[in-house]
Amino acid sequence: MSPVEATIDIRTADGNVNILLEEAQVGGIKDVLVDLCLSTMATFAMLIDAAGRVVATGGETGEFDIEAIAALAAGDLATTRQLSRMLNEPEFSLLFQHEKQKNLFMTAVESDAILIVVFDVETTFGALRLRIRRSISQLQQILHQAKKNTVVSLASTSDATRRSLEEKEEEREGASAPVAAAEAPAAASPAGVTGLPEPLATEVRKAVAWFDGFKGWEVMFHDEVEFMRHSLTRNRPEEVESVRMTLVRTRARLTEQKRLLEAKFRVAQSLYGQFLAALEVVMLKAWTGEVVDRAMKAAFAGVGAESNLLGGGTHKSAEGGWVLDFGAIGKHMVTMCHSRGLNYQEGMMELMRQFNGSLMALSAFLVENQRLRDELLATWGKLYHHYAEGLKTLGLESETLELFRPLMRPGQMPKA
Amino acid sequence: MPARFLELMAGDVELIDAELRTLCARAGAEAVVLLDMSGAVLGYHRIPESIDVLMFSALLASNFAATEELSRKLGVTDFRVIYHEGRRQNLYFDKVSPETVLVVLFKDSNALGRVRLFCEKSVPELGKRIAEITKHPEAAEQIEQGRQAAASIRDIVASFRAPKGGS
Repeated sequence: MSPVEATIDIRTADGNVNILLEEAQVGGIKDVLVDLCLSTMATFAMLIDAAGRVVATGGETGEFDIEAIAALAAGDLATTRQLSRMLNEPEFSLLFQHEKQKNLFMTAVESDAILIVVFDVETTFGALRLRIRRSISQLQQILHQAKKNTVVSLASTSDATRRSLEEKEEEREGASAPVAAAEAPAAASPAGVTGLPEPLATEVRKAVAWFDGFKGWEVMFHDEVEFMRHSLTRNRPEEVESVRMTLVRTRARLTEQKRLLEAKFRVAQSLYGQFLAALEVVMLKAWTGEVVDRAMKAAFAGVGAESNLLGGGTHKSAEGGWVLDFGAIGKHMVTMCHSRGLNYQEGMMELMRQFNGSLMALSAFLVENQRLRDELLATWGKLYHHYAEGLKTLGLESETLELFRPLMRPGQMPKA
Repeated sequence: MPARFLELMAGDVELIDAELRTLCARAGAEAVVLLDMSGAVLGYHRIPESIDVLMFSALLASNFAATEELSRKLGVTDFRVIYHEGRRQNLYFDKVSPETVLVVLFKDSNALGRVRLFCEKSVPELGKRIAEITKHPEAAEQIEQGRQAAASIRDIVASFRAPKGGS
């Protein structure tokens, strides 16, 4: 056995025990870290244990106080873990960003080891996140192997320690399926997530469900395969390997397609979120100036004086924005209820009715204003094209664009 | 900068709450908290009942402080933003002023870009409010009056007790 070069603290029922890492394993970890730095142009990467001790580093660590960074990072991740427990989250990864100077990304590899990557403007976070999954899985393999070795070498230690280590190993074995799923974090999400227009979400869910419920899996990979294997072994033993490889490749291709579909769902969802946010900004921008002043007055103060609940509670603030004073509006409502013999629920309904009416009047006024409408439509058109391009790249183009048609005025649908 | 306590008046609390409510709605956030560096809550909106706000904010503050120190070690001079990414929920920290941090809790289905956009709008507003709070001329005066009143109440109570103790 190679000499022991590093140790990692692992938590057991009866205190902390070290995982013993051999020279070759530490070398393997270093290789993974260096690979990660080279492929993402990160400044440096390091693996530390939960106690804040450095296990291995890769990249240019020269100018930094590595020991201090490791200790602080371990403390930081400990508080992050408490936060995640409070929010019922399995685990948080942490990123701090500074556009011009250094950025840091930190994530737990196993419960006992933390991967830290420091990068600057040369690295894009998206590329790093994509690449880091592979590094994490490589590191997990090495640590898993080291843990197994440690369990064997601890055979002479107390029974309680060994038992707790073995239990921990079993837990990890049990969790290995979700670990594989974590490689494509979208795997569990399509059925649960929201944010896309419902018809599109339904379509994607249907497609993912089809893959999940694809009966061909059973036929192809259980009885049928067994039968084929037997008959092949009996009749044409030289072809067994090639048939097996074909089946494995088919399965890999189908799995890949499923992952792609799930990834598309995430991208479409994010695109839609961005689209909504951008639209909100357009609307906020449009709601300024004299036109809006007149519109607000027309909409909120133009209702008949006696029954108007909103007029008295709507005024322009000193900063120039419009304010609805719900305290004053509420008082008007109560007064009206007493004078007309209505109960408060009826008063509230009347208030809501007036509020809706005023908002409709306001939007009608804005739509009738040529300049504002042109400005809104021009920006809307740009956003729409950006969104359409994004969807086209995902192959979700035609049916999704139709979902937005009702939002446009007739004849105003931007031409692609 | 030395740590100091912010003294909020009723009006300040209302203004901060209004800004947090607006941010929560615009950014589609699950919850927002404004806290100072010692972990004291200055304002919050929509924190679930299952979460102890005081403990939560203490953890948030300590997490921010540790990360800030980490950033200093890496040579970052004007540290501002942290992003914690979870499976279902994410946390976004943005430094409002040297003494205060805004934290937004949002779901995975929400876009980080959206949260960031509206935080960038709200942070200057909140920063302005905090700056005004720290400059309150009447705050110091009222606090001093409060202290004097408390001292005189203590004296009165002591003067009641003294004869009893003596008898």
